[in-house]
Amino acid sequence: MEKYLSKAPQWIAESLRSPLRAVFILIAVIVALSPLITRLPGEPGRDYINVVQLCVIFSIVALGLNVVTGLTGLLDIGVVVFASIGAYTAAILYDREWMQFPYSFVIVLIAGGLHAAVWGLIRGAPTLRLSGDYYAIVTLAFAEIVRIVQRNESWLTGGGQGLKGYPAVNLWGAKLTGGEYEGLLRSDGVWRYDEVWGYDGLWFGNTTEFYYLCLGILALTILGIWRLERSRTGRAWLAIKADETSAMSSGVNLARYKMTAFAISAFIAGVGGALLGFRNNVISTSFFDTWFSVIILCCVVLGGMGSIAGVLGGTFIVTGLSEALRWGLKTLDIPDDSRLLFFGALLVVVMLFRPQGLITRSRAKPTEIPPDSGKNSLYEIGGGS
Amino acid sequence: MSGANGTPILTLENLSKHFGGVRAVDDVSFEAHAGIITSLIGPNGAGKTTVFNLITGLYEPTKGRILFHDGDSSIDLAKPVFDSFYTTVLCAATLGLGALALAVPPLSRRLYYRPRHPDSVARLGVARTFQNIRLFTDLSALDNVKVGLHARVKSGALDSVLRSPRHNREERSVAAAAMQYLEFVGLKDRAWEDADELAYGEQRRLEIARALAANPKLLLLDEPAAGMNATETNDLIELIGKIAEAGVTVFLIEHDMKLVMEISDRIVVLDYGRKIGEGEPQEVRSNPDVIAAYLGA
Repeated sequence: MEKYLSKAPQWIAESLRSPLRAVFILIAVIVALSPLITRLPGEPGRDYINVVQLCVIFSIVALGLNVVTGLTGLLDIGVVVFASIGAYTAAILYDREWMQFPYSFVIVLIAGGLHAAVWGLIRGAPTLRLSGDYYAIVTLAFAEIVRIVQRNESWLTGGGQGLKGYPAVNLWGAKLTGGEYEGLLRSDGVWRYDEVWGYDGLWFGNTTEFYYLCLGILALTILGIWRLERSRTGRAWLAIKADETSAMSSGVNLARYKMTAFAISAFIAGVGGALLGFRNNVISTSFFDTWFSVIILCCVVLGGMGSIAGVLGGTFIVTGLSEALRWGLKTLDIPDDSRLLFFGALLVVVMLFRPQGLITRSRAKPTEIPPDSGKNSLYEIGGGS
Repeated sequence: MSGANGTPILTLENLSKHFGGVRAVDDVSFEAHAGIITSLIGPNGAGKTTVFNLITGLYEPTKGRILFHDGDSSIDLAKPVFDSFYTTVLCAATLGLGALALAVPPLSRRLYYRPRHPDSVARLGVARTFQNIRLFTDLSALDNVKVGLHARVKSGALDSVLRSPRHNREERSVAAAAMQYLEFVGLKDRAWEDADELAYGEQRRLEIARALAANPKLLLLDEPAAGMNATETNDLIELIGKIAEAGVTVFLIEHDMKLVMEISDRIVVLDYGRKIGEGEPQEVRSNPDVIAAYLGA
């Protein structure tokens, strides 16, 4: 602890010297303190936190997509599959009687991610040999197939109506039964948590606890991907992205590392999707449609593929702009779907002037590498070193 | 080191690769011997790079075998692919005797032909460089060599996310060894540059360092001196000599006759996919077929 404290002033000074990092720290502080602002009375405060929360959850999904698209170099236009599978799985599980125990949402979120990962592997296995446009088309088609199945299998997913009224995330187990909570289940099946907890929003997802849960999961995701990027697995992914042939000839098992990327990407997107479902308290195929994938891809490409800071920046810009435009267009009496036109234009401008995205992957910084001459040494040429 | 000097390390038996009607490699047989430098030469389009791609598993041979000798064992680098007639017969047999074929291992092994993947060839101890340099351009020189060390360490994604002791230990060794390989080829000062920022000759040497990092027994160099000036070529000759001296068997494709004649112990000549000559540099130089192929007589 003391070690970190003594380094803090130096670290802060260093951070402020780089304007980009200073901006990031500022945004991080604002995001972390956002729920305090919601306590302010009035409409604007609540809208604001809703948008920030959406940005946080979208960032998780975008970071998941980034593993396949940014690090492994395969264009994926179907990330919605994993988000929606995560959302449906988590919601359906959380509604079960045997899921009602403290902290069960942890299990539910992980289950949503794992189920998505399974489908990531199922989609990945036959497409291992595809790359570029061909791979992209398969992901697009697969997303559409899954969406149609989800819309038609109404016994499980609620069909076109979507899934509604499942319990919202809380620490004590989903369904609060007996005692003072009795009678909260309305005749239409919606739980009136708002009346219990005193939040004036209709969504239980709109709470401080849930906000910090999302933020915590985002932090874990960033940490995990940051570590993966700088490891054997991350190097293998980047090698595959740069040149599949020489990656193979260097001993990288292409199938294995692509599958790892698919599974990890789908897992993260699945957890993000599950959070999104709990936030909206309604899951429908009209929300999880192709546009969802396109927007997330837009976040990643705009911000900078393969860069964590880029993906976060891109997501906050795109999602923030999207919500601002939704509001702005509504006041002008223009259909709010036309905001997608702005993203098209924005993407064209970025591709023209900064095709690598706003923030590029940070380069390796020279560090001291201690020599390693013990029995662990891997330095060997032709049997002797 | 694998085997004594002079024993075969690589055997090509009646190797053929046809692309449609083009016989890129046609019934080629030769051996590369451990501890000496063998060169594969021939005019443009003679099929030299195709031979390398067959050895490293990037292509499947149309016919023939490639054996890699490691100590006492011989490993099939590329099992033969049956031609269409036999495939048809085998498919019919599979339909009829499916259950039997599945039950008898030697039979099922033949039915389910599994090509050897390039990464498992690399793992066996055969590393290569490419004619048109293929580095990981947006990685640093050091990271390029670290990818070369990939198959020699084991930590997986979970190790890395949790920063397990194995991850930490392996990352330390990998970084230290990568630096030593860079030092060996003389690129220690350039370790933190991106691969595409290096000069042309440096990129060639970085590719060699990446291949050496896999600790190969057999190193395949595809035109390592292409595009180099005289000084760079001399440095390269010295480097190849150093690698061979350390005990790695070098097998190279080269157009630069000065380099070939100077460093090769043995030369194999290809023309139009066929082997037209083989032997020591002096023999090959006076072989009438080789002279005809090179002078176009």
